[in-house]
This record gives sequence, C-alpha cells and structure tokens, in this order.
Amino acid sequence: MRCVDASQLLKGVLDLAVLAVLRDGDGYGYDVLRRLRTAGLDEIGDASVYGTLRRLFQAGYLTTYVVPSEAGPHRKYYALNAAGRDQLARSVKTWRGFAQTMDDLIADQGVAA
Amino acid sequence: MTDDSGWTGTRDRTAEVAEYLAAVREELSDLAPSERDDLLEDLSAHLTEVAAEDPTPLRERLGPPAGYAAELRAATGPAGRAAGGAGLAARWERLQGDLRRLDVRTGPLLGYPRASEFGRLLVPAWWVLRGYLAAMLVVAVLDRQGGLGLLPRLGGSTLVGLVLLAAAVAGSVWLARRFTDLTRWQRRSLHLASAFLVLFGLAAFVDVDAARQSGSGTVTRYVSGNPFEDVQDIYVVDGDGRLLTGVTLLDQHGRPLSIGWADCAEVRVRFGEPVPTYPRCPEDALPWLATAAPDPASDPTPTPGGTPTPAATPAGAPTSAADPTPTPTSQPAPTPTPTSR
Repeated sequence: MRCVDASQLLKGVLDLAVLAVLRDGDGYGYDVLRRLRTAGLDEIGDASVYGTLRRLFQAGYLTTYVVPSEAGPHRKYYALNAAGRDQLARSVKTWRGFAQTMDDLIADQGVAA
Repeated sequence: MTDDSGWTGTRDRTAEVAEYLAAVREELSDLAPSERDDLLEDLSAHLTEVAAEDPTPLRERLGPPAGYAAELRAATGPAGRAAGGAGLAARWERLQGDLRRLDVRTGPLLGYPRASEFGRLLVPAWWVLRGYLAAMLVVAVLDRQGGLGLLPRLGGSTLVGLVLLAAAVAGSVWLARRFTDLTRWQRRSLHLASAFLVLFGLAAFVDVDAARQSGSGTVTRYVSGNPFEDVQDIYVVDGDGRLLTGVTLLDQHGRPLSIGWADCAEVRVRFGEPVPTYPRCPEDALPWLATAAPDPASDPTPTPGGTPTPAATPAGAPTSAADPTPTPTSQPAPTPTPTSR
C-alpha cells in the first residue's frame, strides 16, 4: 500500500527545492527541472517548475536575464537576489525544524510498533 | 525565435508549441484575462526551450494540456495572483500578513475573534455618517451666508436641511447596498467621493470646533471688561512729583472709589463701608517715587518753604519740652487731606 504520495510532499517544498537549485547557479526553466531530477526529485513536473519560477519571480525573490543561444531559442535565466537568499535561509530553517520533528515522530512510532 | 535558423525542425516545433500553449490557455479560461496572461507570459518561451532540449513531442513529454494547466495552477498558488512589480508585490504581501496577524491579535481586546469583525459591525454606521457628511457638503456649497453649524440648514430653514439630511443618508445606504452591482469605475469614484467627504468632514469639524472655542473666548472678555482689572494699587503724586499718602478717592457724587486689591491695605471705615486710602501699600511704592518724595517730617528743609520747620518747635513749647506733640503742622500744606498716619 502506498501511504504517502511523493508528489504531494513535493508540493510543499517546491519553493525550497527551486531556490536551493538556483543557489548553486543561475538556470533557465528546463535546466532547473533537469537539475531537480538529477538530484533525485523524479516526480517533479515541468509545469510545477515553470509555475514556481514565475511565482518566486513575482514575489521578488528572483531576477531574470535572457541569454541568446546559437543552437536554439533564447533562454531566460533565473537568479537568486538578496530577498531570494533570505527566503531560502528562512525556508531551510523551517524545513530542518519540520524534518527533525517528523524524524523524531517516526522514530517514536517505530519503537512503539 | 528569430535566430533559430541552425535549429532543425523549427517550424514544426513552433507550431506544436503554439498549439500546446493554446490548449493550456483554453484550460485556464476561467481566470481573469490579466491573471491568465500573467501566468502564461513566459510559457511560450519556456515550451520552446523544452522542445529544443527534447525531441519527444510535447504532449508526450509534458502530458495532456489539461494536466499541465492543473499543475501550473497548483504550483502558482495564490501568490501568483499578486500582480505588479516584483519587489513591491512581495512587500505588499508581507504587509498584508502583518495586518492579518494584528487583526487577530487585537480582536480579543474588543471581545471579537478579529478586530475586523468588530469593524464590520460599524460599517452601516459609516454609511449613515457618509450621508450626513454629503448633506453638510451640499449645504456648505449652496448656502454661503451662514457659517456651517452641526445640522444642515438651507436658506435658514432647518426643515429643508433635515429633509436633505434624510435623503442623503438614505442615498448613502442605498448606494452601499447596491455596491456589488456597480461597475469598477463607479466603485472607484464612490471610494474617491467617500475619501473626499472624510477630508471635508475633518476640515468642517476643526472649523466648527475652532468657532466654538473663539466664541467662548469673546464671552470671557465681555464679562471681565473692567479696564482696571489688573490695577493693584494707586499712587497719587502732586505737582512736584511727590507721593501723597493717605489719599481717599471720590467720584463725582462723593462716593469713595475702591480700586485695587493689595492685601496689605489698611481700611478706614467711613459711611459704614470700608474705604481704602491710597497708596494701600506705601512701603511697596515704586522706587523712583520713593526717592522723589522725601518724608516731610524728617526733612528739616522741605520744599514748601512756608511750612513751619521743626526747629520752631522747641521755642513754641518751653514749658513742656518733653512733649513733642504740639507740632501737628509739620505736615506739608499742599496735601488735600492731610491725615497723617
């Protein structure tokens, strides 16, 4: 029985995942998706990444610039700005606390069972 | 997509991208046009990127447009709807969050879960107030003769004013009830007009308040119109600049005047009433007066030469040298009421 859907879990931490990827280096939409998948987030969808990038940009956490490509279309790169780095730091803190709590909880359950 | 010459299969993929994009747009047709355009602003470029990276057809690679649209909707969330400048939007959202927290925190102080719930109860009261302010504005514009009072008054008639007030209040409430039926521009102008009424109301309030303040000030001046109000004592000086003491002031009917309120005064009783003599406090006399008025009794050579000098006293009283009393005439002659103290 599949208890937890990974894509459901992913929804809550998509912002954090995208921000973390962009901390390692600027990226365009498809590139961000590829890096997330390479990192192991296979369930992630293209629309989710595109939508998240749009939302983070509109929230003021990202800047963009366009790089012409010889072999294809222009690529719109996204980069973290100061607000984005702040947001990332806050999200990391929240995530760590949450993950710790969940770990403890699960460990207790394991002992009880 | 102008420099895609070196890119194989461009035309097909461009058409494919456009077709997929149109399908996604169709799926999002329930959104407001501005919101949808905002969401899809970069999607064409993004899909082109995807198509360039991966030869798989988009429908296969990304799934059906309906699923893509649903995922997009979920990923964009409510924050995606915040239009406008990026930094500004973020700040606005933070401000809204702060206000919500403040709302919840201050609510219990008023006995409500949220302060805004208490505020909502007051909204109808605002509609009535807005009607009143509108009536007052009409009066202020039409009726220029009288100053603005607290009740609307047109052409001096309170009745007309009250009818106007009732109509304005009813109109304000009616407008508020119909607010949802109004077009965007009508709403905006209603908000503008309301804001103007608030400004007008504040200005009129300050005006009326100031008028009342200065009004009561006039009354105070009228009551205390006595020009001698701050006179404390009176110094009577003769033609030579000498201070006269023990002076009684009488009016044209011979009634003694009582002016001033020095508390050191010694009061003589005449006609059954206390009558002051002036100066009430000779020891407090102005310094320059004191020096200009030498005490005639101690000065052996006073200016009025005709007065008997104290030197004459011993000669006039050879039998009782020890008695100095028979020198009552040592007072200066010009004194009108030579009552020595």
